Amino acid sequence: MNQEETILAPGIGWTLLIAFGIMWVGLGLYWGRKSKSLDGFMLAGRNVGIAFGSATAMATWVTSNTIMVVPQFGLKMGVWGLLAFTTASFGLFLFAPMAARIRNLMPRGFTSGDFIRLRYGKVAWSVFLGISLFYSMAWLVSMAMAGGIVLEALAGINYKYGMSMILLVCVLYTLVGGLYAVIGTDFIQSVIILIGIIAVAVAALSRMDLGDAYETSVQTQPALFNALLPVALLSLFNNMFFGFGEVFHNNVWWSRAFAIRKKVVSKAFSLAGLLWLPIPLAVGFSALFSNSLGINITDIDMTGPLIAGELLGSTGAVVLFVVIFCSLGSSIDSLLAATSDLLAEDVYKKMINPSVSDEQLRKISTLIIVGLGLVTWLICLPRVGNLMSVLFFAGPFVGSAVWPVVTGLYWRRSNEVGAVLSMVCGSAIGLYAYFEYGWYTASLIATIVSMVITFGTIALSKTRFDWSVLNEEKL
Amino acid sequence: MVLFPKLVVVALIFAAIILTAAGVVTLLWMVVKDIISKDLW
Repeated sequence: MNQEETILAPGIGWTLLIAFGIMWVGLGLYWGRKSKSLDGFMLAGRNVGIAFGSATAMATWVTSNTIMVVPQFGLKMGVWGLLAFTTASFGLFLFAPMAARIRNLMPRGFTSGDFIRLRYGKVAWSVFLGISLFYSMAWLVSMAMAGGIVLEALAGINYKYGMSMILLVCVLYTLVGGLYAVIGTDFIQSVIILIGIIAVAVAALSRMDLGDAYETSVQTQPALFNALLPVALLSLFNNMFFGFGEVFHNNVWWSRAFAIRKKVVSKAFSLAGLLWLPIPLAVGFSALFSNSLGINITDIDMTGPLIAGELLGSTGAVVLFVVIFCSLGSSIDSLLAATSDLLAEDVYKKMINPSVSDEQLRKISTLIIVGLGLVTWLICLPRVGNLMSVLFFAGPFVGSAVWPVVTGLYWRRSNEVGAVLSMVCGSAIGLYAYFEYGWYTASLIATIVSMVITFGTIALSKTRFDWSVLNEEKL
Repeated sequence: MVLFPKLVVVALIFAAIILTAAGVVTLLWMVVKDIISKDLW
């Protein structure tokens, strides 16, 4: 297939983009009527039910990277590559009990930064904020880039215009509706994403004989079906720890833990993990058979769109377009909201202006959302690197935050020195591994280094943390 | 080279698609339940 051709006419692409854009902003306005208070705007009133709660956790985790990078994994690392991606759901499963504990320990908490500040003090808090903000920006950038790339690949919409349009829509509806709009649209986006994935998968199956395709691919690309592929096995553990780091530290999930009703918060995250688990295989299996299907992929970023377009023509391209737009929206909106919370609550309120009123803080939040959108847009204007490199560069940083968060939630002896050293040394050594050995080792090594330091300092610690310190309401 | 058997690969793909479909049904069922019991928000 010639990659200079587009699968959809640009007019159809623009029509879909504008129609869905209007719908999301309209829904944002509708749900935004509920977000009158700061609690409403930042945490959707702290009373979200299980349906919306599990959908928002799942949809946020189904990023455009899931849809775009998973086929790349299938193409490069075969079956193990797809299985490696499914391990990202383990982060949601493990966060389920943690979310319940967070709600118990911090009934009036706002952000993950609040937890680190109260639990470990200001030095650890600063390091953590640096990691969290860097990661959130890397995630935002990788998704906005993915949006621009896929719109260009599918519909010939200029990269800069497509990327700008996606960011604009997400900023607008997050701005007008806060977390109510984010969670409400996430539910609709979840349903569309899941139905779209099933439609593409079923249509792909109806166009090829899986048994024959397997036989052909095993002959031409046996490495993809190698059950003992060392790089892929390494990437499985790397992905798993990357997933733990992303979920455990990022305010996107902490804000859900604070927003979902206490009684169902644990169930909601477990269910989200279960909903997410099969998605990489359902999305990426066609990539295993691209060679036997005669699809020539010269640009790795376009693996998913090219396969869908080749197998299913313009209908598949429309479905994929909508699924990717929904997955972009569900993640970008969450990141904008959660990162602006982090900047408003942790940086502005706690560092700059502690006497700020709730009303003023809400205004600051909206300004931050606009600012985040602008910064992301500026970074994305020049298209840099492929999606994998942008995504996995952040891996060592988040991997190093796993143990300070986990031990901080459950272990009185966990302490500030251990938290700071584990995040700094874990990130540094993980980055060294990223450049020296490859992206597929970086998170794994960062997490292991962080674990050794955290447990070492716990063993030597005389700290016995008082859990009531985490409840700011009582202080 | 030890390869994933055909049966395992095919089973994994079908299981993934069926689980995804079950996920949509579960989500829709839960939202109806939450709307009826006024537990949506």
